[in-house]
Amino acid sequence: MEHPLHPEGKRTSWLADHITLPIAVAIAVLAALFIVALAYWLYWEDDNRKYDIARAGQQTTNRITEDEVAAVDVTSPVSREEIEKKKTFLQEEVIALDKIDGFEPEDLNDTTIQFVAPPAR
Amino acid sequence: MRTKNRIRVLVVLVVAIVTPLLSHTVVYGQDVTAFGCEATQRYLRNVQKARDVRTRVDRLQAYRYIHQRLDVFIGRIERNNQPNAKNMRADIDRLYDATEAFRLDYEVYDTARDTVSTLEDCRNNTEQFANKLQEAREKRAIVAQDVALIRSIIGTNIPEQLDVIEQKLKEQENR
Repeated sequence: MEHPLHPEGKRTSWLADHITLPIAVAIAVLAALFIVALAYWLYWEDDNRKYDIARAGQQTTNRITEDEVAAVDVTSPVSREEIEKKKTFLQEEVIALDKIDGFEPEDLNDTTIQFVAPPAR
Repeated sequence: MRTKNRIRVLVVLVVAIVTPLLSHTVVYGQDVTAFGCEATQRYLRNVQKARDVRTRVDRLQAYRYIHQRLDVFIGRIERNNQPNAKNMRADIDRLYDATEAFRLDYEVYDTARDTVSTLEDCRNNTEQFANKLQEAREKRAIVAQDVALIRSIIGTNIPEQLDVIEQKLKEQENR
């Protein structure tokens, strides 16, 4: 029996038979959404996100701004528990800062900056 | 015919998805086969500068944020005449000074790096290019030293002062 879509009777691949244009477009859109979601998740989980600058249209303030506008106790004596918290805060900050580049000298070595010295004449 | 069209559509879609990823790789690995100083200048201008600017913004914000929080904290200790306030204040002032030094030294390094990347006709000015590059490396090393100093203040000196305060408060409670 002759196939209505392939009157010449040629065999086609499974992929070509099942992936129509709308399905292909849907796959592309889903792939794009997945990449965006993955990138945003990585950004959201980053310890240094709180230092990121606020962006236009951002609905919520970033964490550092929230901390700045939060009511801060500036008068009462400091307790030992608060000192422990402050030490933990500093430890976390140091860990977060260690994940940022530190202007290491090797970033400008010949290999990294792709510098090839000219041959001797 | 229909099969060929579908394959063409699929190819277009795959190219549309993969091209941005590839272009990113190409930008960062650009001109690896290019010879001499022009490739270096392009790298410094297009890749290294962007990285440095981001690092500078992130670090400066972090340092100022940490200093602000600690400044409020030491203010409470001073206001209530709690122990070790003077030493703690000295370390927090050192953090402020080191942060300012970082900011200023970065500006100097930034200028030095830009001088390398904008040097005209570097192929015929090899000696000048090498000297400017060396100068940029030295300025960058100074910034790296600032970063190391700030890390030691935040990660070692101030926690040590906090330990002293904690110990003295404990002693006061036990009296």
